[in-house]
Amino acid sequence: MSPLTPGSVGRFTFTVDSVTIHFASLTVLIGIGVFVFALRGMSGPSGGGTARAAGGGRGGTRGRFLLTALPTLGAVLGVVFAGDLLTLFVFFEILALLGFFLVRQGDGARGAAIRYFWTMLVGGLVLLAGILLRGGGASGPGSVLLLLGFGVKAGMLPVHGWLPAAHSKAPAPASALLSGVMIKTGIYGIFRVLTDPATPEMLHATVFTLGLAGAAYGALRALVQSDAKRLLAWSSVSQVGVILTGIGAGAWEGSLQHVMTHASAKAVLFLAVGAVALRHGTVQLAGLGGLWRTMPVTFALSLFAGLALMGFPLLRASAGKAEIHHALEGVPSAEAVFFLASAGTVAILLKLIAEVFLGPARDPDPATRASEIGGALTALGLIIAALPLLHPALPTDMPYFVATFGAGTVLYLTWRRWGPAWPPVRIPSLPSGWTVPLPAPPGLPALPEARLQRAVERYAREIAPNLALLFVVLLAVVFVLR
Amino acid sequence: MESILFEIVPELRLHLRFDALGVLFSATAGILWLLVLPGPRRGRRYEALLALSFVLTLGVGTAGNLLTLLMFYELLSLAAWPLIIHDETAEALAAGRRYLAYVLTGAAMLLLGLAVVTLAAGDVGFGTRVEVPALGIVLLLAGFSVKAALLPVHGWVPQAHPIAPAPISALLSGLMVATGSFGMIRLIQVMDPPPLAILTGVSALTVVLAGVVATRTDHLKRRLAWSTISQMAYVPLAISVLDREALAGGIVHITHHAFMKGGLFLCAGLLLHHLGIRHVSRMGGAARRMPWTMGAFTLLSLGLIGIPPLSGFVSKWVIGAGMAQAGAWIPLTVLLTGALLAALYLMPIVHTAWFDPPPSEGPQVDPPPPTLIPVLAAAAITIVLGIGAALPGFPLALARAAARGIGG
Amino acid sequence: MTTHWLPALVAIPIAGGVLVPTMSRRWAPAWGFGVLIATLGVALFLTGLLREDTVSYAVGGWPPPYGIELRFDVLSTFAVPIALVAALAVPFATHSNEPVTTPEGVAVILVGTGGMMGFVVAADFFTLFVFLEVLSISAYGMVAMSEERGAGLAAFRYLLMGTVASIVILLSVGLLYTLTGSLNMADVGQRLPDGGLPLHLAIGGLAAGFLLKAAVFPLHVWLPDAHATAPSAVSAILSGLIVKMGIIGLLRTPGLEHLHELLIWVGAASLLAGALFALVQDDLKRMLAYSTVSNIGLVVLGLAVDRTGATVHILNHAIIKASLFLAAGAFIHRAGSRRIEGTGRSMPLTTSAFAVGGIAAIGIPPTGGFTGKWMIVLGALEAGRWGFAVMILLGAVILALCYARFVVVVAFRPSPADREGTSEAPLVMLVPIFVLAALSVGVGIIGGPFAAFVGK
Repeated sequence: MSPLTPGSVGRFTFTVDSVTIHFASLTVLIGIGVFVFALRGMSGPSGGGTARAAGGGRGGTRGRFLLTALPTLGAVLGVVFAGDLLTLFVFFEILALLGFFLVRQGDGARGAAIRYFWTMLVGGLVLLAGILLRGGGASGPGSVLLLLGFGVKAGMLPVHGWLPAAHSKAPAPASALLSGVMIKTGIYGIFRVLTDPATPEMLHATVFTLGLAGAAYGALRALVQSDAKRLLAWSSVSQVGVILTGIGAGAWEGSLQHVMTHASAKAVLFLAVGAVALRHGTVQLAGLGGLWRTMPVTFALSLFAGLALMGFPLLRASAGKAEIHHALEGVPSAEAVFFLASAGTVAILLKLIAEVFLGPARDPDPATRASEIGGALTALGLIIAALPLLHPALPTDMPYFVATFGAGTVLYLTWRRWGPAWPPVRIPSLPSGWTVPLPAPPGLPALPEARLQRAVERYAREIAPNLALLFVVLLAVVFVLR
Repeated sequence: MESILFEIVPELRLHLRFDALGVLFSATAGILWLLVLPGPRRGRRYEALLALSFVLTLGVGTAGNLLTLLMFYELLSLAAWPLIIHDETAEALAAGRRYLAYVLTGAAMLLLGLAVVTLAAGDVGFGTRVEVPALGIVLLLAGFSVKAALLPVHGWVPQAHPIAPAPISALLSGLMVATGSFGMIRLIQVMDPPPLAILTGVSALTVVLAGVVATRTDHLKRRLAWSTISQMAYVPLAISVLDREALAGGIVHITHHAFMKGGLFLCAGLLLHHLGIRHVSRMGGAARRMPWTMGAFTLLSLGLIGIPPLSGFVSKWVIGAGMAQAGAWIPLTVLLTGALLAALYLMPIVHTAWFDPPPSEGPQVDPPPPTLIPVLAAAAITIVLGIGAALPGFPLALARAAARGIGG
Repeated sequence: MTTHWLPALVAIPIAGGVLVPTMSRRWAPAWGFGVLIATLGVALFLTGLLREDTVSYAVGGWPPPYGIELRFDVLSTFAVPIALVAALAVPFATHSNEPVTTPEGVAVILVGTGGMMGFVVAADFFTLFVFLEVLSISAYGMVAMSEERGAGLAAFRYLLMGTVASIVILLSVGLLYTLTGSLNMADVGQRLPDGGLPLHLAIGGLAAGFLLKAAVFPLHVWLPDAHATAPSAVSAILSGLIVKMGIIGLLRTPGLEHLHELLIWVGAASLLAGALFALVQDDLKRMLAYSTVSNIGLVVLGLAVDRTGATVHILNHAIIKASLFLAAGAFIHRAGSRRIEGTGRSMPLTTSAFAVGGIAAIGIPPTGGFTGKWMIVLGALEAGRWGFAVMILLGAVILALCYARFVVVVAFRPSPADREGTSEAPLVMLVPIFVLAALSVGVGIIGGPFAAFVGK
């Protein structure tokens, strides 16, 4: 049974095939890694100073985190194993709801969590509309809406805005789950839609274009971040773009491989940053340095994950990216953008590893020294998460890697030399004045939750134009197609 | 199963009938009444009228012809009135006046419509289909829409629901509004409706505008009342699509909404009683004081928004699937917008209650089991009806059987 | 068919009334009650006979059209509510020691009942007029007996208006006699000329007189004062029974179809004006009185569109309005004055009965008020008079608000501090109220067969 049958209410069906197994196994593996990390990487019921630094927030965060994370994994598996769209949607919405609690556990994550919730809710409704339309026989518009709904979850370009905020504000293990596992459900959905014969051809090109744009844009935004978690979050936007490029271009196996690579590598990197924060109380790059001495395992694994993500040819994990790249050959403009994205990725990861682990050592916060015993367990968590990367392979595509590595190094060094002196880089985003502010109906009291209202308005200002634009683009695509 | 009783005016008889639609409605009423029974005793007048309203609601559910339906419907309107003004405050009395003015005007329209229909077709039992002048149907639909709280005639809801005692608000929102929708369903069971574009338009407007107003309302129970207006307009919206599946969704939405909104109003009552909270803006930290109550509230809110696998999702899905089949894109959009609006007016409450700091710390004051259990039961029903939707004998199966009986 | 029970229907209450002044104050009400129950038995017996045929009785053996004829036809079944309401009013009054329970009061009630009986069974116009005078004079007396302030003035006003009506009716009867040469109703109906001024004058005069007796707007001005100041038991008789005599007179009037257009407008005006006046009353009994004006308007409208419906409605309304006035009397009795706020709190049974009566008066199915109203609405629609059907329902909505208002006053307002210890009405009041309230629902439940019986 195809996972894209509409399904009927009250009947849950599940299906297993190779794609399902692929997504499910990486989910479980990364989940185990995150849990092992969280055993020490978050404070227990008694609380502790160190946890705060890890983004843990209030006392007893570990219990709360595990309580949320376990069903989250279950919901992800539900999405992946769903045998019809209705079943998928059920788990998809549960996942969105649990994600809210995951993000909300971070310090100062209120705004990000609310924004996350609204985005997911709208995405879910769009998805629901798409499912209903497909069920009602309107396959074309239905597919468009399905893509949009899944795209929101995946962090596809015009609807990615929630991702950097949520991933950087959530506690580190939660970020690892979000970036490693949860956004992959969106990719899973897009993959299913695009591999379905009923989907209009034109949508492949759309996903391809959006993916490519996201890959470059995310990389550039990541490069200018000074917060390690934010940097990683923007890098996720970029990597999702890479994967979508592959799916859109028809490099399906490569895309699936890269899904696993990114999931694993990003989980490792987020956990590594979490471990650093656990000891040093900060994730600001300016406050860190020289950690390779005190945290050699973390350093090695980060480097390893970074290399895998860059596309280091001696790893099997890099084969996916190579295949995606091959699929682009013959389209020079696409190749150029993809090269920029790859170089950007190299620069990002060099920046992260160099700023955190190399250079002059900074004094760690004396109060956090006590947690040495936890080091072994947190490291174990990282290792488990890195397992999928460990498969060596014969080198392929070496010149391309060397070229991107070189360009990336130049990019990083350029940023290092002049970047801090630049005026704050504002890559132009969509103008924010597009939405007409809705006047309150006369005689009605304004929403009392002023802050919440601000969040909602911000949401409306920032996301809604993007969504509207995407709608227009996709509709145009559909009409052209007909 | 039918039973024909007295002839109360020439050629029109009291006529009881037990079919899938009626069974579903009556069973919903029965369980909801069980949920509102516990709680503080409120005196003889209250108890007697509560029991009377129950009987009359069963009458609405089991009415076998139009006259019997209208009879129980109007008696129910009147029996509920003293319950609404039970608190005897000036506000309550004003709300009661407004309520009466609305429902009686609706009743007058219904009677006129019934007269027109009777002149054309005689005794209209629910087992047959008849040809009647469009005017009769329009009058009847307009009359029912007063109770169903469609937009221009919704005015009694936001006044009467917040002012009534919490169990009565639960019944009003859960079933009183539903009797209007129920009447509309009975109507299209027996007569071919005129083109329903107006009904579509009106209910679509109701869904959206009432939802918007709800987001701007600070008074908790009033916000829930606006939510009822918005949510119950799904039913006429589903009816107006003229699709069997959408109709089944509309029917099952009556039941699902009854438990969700009933539970929410009971929660609101508990919040008022134990914490003195009337307004959303005062709800900071309420969940820490009353975790069980607010837990149920949260679950019911999620259900109302339509988060799967809760019951609100089931009805939305079935309605939406029917609309998609019928190619009714605009109603479908409205349906989803309604869900979004539901999130906009319910989630801030939930968020404030769980995550915002309370104005003052205090001990946990969850109510004692007799009053807590109905609320938890409503939440449990929401889960069970959502997950077990496809089981035989569950509301969805009954609603589909009813929709089959109605045709489409 | 003929039977001596027919004249007995008239003779029993009048003879009983004449005998009352010979009795002690203590036994008068019991006697009155017994006589009225006997009358009720006779009325029921005659109604039973009616299933087979109309009962006719030639007084003194002179056959009609020369002698005085009494006929018990469908319209005469009004004798049943007359006897019933009067019978229940008497014991009701005893507990509150109203002046109607004195021997003189009981006598007036009995004679008035006899007058009404004669009125409903009279088969010729002169007899009709005679009994109309008998019952009218009794009615003036009943109002005048009240100890309320202004009762005398109200009674005098009632007397003036009633006399004017009587004179007009008498003149019209004379005119009819000159036109047709007969006073027997059946004869007159057959010999009526097709048109012409004299005919219109005669019928118009009769109608005007009866409309005044029935207190149709704008000829209603005597009614509210009279009904509101009279003792409650009397109000029940006045509002339930005596104003209906005007309607029965109209139903007896030949050639009424010439006046349909007038009746329908007058009826509609009365219907709405009565309801609107009722809405602004602060006194329960005045509100009930105006509600009567409204209902009479409905019936007058019904005369033009559906006579059966109108007949059904006067029968039902007699019972309903009597139950409401008796309930009002119970409230006033317990409150000790006309300020009845909050009395219902300690009188749940009376309040329930009042509510049931109110529902019946509004005309919600399955109560008695619905049957007639429904038939009249259907009649109006069938005649293509849409606006009037709408007006009838509008009037019902307004009346509903009036009744709701007084339910609030009685049961939802706080009672004054000096009246804490009130209790439920005594049994002797409750039983009449409940009998009437139950009947007002009961006649509605069997409304179909009932209307079929009346429409025969």
